[in-house]
Amino acid sequence: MATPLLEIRNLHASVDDKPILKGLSLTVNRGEVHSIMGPNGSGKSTLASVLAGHEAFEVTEGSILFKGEDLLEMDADERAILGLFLAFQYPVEIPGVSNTQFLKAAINARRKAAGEPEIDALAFLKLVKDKARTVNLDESLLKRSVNEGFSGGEKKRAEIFQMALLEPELGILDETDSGLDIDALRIVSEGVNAMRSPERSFVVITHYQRLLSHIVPDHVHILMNGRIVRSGGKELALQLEQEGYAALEAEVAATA
Amino acid sequence: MTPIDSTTVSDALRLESFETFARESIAQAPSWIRPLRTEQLERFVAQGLPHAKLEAWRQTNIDPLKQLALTPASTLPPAERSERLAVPEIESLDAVRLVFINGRFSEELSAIDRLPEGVTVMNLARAIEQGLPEVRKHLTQSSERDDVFAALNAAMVEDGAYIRVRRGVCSQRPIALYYLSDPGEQAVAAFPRNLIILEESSELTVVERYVGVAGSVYFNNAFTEIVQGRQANLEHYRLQEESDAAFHICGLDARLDRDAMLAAHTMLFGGQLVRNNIHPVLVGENCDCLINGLYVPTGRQHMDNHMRVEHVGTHGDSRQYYRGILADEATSVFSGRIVVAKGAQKTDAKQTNANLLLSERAHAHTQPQLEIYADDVKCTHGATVGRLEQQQLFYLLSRGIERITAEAVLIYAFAADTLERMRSDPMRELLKGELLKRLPGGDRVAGVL
Repeated sequence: MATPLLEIRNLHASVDDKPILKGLSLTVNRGEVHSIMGPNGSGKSTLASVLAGHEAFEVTEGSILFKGEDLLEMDADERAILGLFLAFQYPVEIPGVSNTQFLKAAINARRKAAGEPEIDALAFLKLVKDKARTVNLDESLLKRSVNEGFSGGEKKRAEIFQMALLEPELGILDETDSGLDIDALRIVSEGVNAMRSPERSFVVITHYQRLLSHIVPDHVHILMNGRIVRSGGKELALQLEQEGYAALEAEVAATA
Repeated sequence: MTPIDSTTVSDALRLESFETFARESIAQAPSWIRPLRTEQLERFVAQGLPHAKLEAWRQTNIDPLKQLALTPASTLPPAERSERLAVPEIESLDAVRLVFINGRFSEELSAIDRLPEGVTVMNLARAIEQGLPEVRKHLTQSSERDDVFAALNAAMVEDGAYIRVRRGVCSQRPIALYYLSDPGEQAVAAFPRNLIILEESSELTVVERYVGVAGSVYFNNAFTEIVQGRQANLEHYRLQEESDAAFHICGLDARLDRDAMLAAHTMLFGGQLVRNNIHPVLVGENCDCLINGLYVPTGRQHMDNHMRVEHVGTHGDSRQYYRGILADEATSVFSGRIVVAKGAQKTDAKQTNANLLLSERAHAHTQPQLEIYADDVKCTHGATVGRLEQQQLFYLLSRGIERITAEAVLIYAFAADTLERMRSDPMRELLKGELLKRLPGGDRVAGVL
């Protein structure tokens, strides 16, 4: 069998010496969409940050292989170049840096790593125009500073727009649905679905089932207290929606 | 090292012993200016040199300057050119050019041509010699009363630029003043002074650029005096790129009549010890004043910015934006005072100072102050000292941008607003380039921004 795109084994991670992830394992093959669901504080966002390489999180045990390579040995920028993308739960505002400048820098960083020349201005403009249309993003926003003055929905759409531009092999969506109204949720989901391919995988992190009726996952995992306590198909999300986290929590406690 | 000859040694003085030398120098000056210079010298003597116990000098220790054996530039034979320095001309400005070497005018390197009608430009020494009425009326008249270095500069005044724009004249050509310091083996002390007079409804852009031979030690005590008539509009730039071993103490005093507008931009890069005094007085009503600055000390450089914005007339609007980027063991001071006089109603005064520390060992002191004697005013001030935002850095990294580039982009972004406030495109482009040259990773940013 082919090497999995992502292979997490027995991952333990802490922030400020406080353990958050306590033995998480997950295998994502190419072309699959996995959803990680869990209550607040279960470690969902920590998993996203650890995967993307945030320095505030310390991995104390376990391993992560991405395309067969040791992800933990790489800095955040190297991970991105290798094909990993994190759509932030809270996209960061960067006053003084325009979106256009930022996106060009990100695209050229990839091209440089691939030994390609920098993107020419016309090709860049066309690419930006095309991708902005896929998530219904107002192009005038791109003249502004990165995420500055964007509404909550615009920020989330901008994340998916960036993902479409950078064409990663693994997209991690960290609560992309939070703060989105139903129209925005549909637009964002369509943007993601358009990118689904046999080569590309997604890890969709969410608290609610709502997003998963738009981005239908192949696998659903329930994260509680830093570990995956249950895995199943898309029906698991529906079951969770009906029964709630509390019921599952009690069930897990009883079988532990 | 070349042996210093005996004449040089006898001419070298400590700052505290300048009095005798100054009196001799004043005795040789045109008679009309002697009382003015003497009065300023008396002030210098009475106040004495600053020390750390004075509130205004608490964070800035000038002992290294006090201990320096200085050679007054006026005792040296005048140099028409510098062997070691080229004039850092800003070509795209297409400006009238005045070049000074060690504080003295170089006719050979200057180009005072294509002067718009109604604009007078000459070196100050010539204007003093001719005893022009405007010079007699305004020279040394706007000096801040408690600024001892302004007094010293006025007492020692010899050369600099004299600029006068007549009523209703909008000069399309900027005027650029290039101050080159090439002190040789001696620590030369120079006292350049600029007098800029804008009559009613006139307009002008002036650029002062200070450069020095790398590594050389000297003292530049520079002072710019600005007088603006009604509705006069001045855009002023000071770009300080002295040698990193130099001492640079400069002042800018401005008096604004009704409806006048002043934008004073400052970029500080050079000098081991820098003091930048800015003191506009909004005398008439409805004046508008922008004080915009950026200081970028590295190594062990110390940069002290001392602002005093005085509102006297009603409906005055002043905005101070000063930002510092500090690396290594650099230190900085921002002391900004807004003074709103009794009767200066409807004043709208704003002051912000933000500092970005790039190293654990860098220190920024900031002290905003308000002194308000009127009751119907709007005054705000704010100060911050911080480091690069780790979340912003992570965001850039997570998109594949290399760390050194990402850091440089964020540092540059911190300064971007300062550049955006500059109206002159050539100056903004020049200063952007000068800033990027000095930032770690700046060469990579140039391709991005």
